Amino acid sequence: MSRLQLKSHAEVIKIGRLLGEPPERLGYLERLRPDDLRVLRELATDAQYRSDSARFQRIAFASRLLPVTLTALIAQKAFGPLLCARIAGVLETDHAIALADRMPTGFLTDLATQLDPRRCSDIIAGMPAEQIAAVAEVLAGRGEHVAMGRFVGHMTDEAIEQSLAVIDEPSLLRISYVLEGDEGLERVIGLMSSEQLRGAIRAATEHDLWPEALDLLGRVSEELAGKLGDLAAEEDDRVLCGMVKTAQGDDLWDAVLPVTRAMAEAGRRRFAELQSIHEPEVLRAIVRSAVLGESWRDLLPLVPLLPREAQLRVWSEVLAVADALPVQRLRGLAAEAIELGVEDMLPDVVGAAGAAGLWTPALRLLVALGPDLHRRLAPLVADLPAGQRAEAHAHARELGLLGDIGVLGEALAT
Amino acid sequence: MNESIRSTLREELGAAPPFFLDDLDDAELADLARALSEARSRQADALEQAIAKSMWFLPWGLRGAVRKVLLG
Repeated sequence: MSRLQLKSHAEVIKIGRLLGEPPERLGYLERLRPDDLRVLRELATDAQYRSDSARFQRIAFASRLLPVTLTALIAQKAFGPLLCARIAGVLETDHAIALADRMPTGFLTDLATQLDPRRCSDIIAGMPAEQIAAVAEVLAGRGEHVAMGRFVGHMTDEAIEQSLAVIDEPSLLRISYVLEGDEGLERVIGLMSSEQLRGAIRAATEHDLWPEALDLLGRVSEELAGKLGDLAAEEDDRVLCGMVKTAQGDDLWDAVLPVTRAMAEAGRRRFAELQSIHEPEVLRAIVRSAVLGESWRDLLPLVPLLPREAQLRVWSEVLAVADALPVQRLRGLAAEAIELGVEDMLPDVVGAAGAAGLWTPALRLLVALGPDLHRRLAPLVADLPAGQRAEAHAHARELGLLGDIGVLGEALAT
Repeated sequence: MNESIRSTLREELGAAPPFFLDDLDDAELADLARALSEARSRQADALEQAIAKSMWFLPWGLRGAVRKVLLG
């Protein structure tokens, strides 16, 4: 199941719970996008509340006429968790918190799975942190990650910290995957200790949760993703290889490459030294993701850190993929590469063209760059080793492209 | 989406059906409308039963007043 399918599935679970239907009955909704399903869920939630809003208001009013202990008893014995969750949306905050204080954790947990946190944000924020943590622990124990994911954005830092202390790391990753609002995710991670973060990274490998972990890395700020990447780089090869395996198997290099760019040099170097990313099919997938997607800028700083053979393979893959790209895209990639300083890498690109027999696509690529980029590249080309320049010049002449590469031809001839 | 289903969904959602529902076929949309309707009915029935049951927990003297507030 892809990332989007998993998120759609989580939304269908929420809609099923709202409507009192097993999610299987609503399986056809999984074809819709998660963002669209969220809109549908909110519309359906509003409709459910609206249809009995007058009665909910009267019940809320009547609840103020009775002692809190009696109201809490009636809530549990007569109304049950579902209706209490609906009525909570119209209760005054202080009254709701006082009632919750007299309810057992098990009942509050059942109620929490039915609650619309948007309507009860002040109540969630106002409840004692230890009570929230107790409910969170039971929810996590029941595997109610979807329900938990809805609450986090409404919890106080203190409640989050106490909840983090009682929820295991695999559950944290599963919750993060369905957590609503990326700001909440950033806040939770900010409140986790380095040891908890390391535990979550290990859990990703031990519990096969790298898809969840990579999704998380793609949703937090670049700075935080880099910090998490550095922590991962401190783990043993088995952990990092788990990440590589998932990125490769689920085609998630677009999530991993930006993280490597945000990592500190030592972490990036450790990542580049991993045997598992030197595999030809892995390098091919990385290059395709970078060149065809949005991660080209993220790949370039990684290349010089790879072993020589892997570097040559990267460049030959780049040349092979670039051969099929539109001219505008090629020019964009080349301009970015020049901006990032490709001087040191250019001999390897030329070397890869020779070693892999890719002179034709390499020279066609140069032709496509146009006069402006030719002028910017000329000084770099002039600095190439004499043997490489001569070989490139000979091939350009043989292919009849010397006239099309303008000043580059002159730089190769010097 | 045929007009009959569009109208039913508008009634159940209390708003115009969002455009992305056009990706579902009419049978699926009809099932969605039915699920929405059944959920509302179940909620209304559960409320009535809960209100009736709540009277059992009230002192005699309060039942009339609370019932009046609850039922309007």
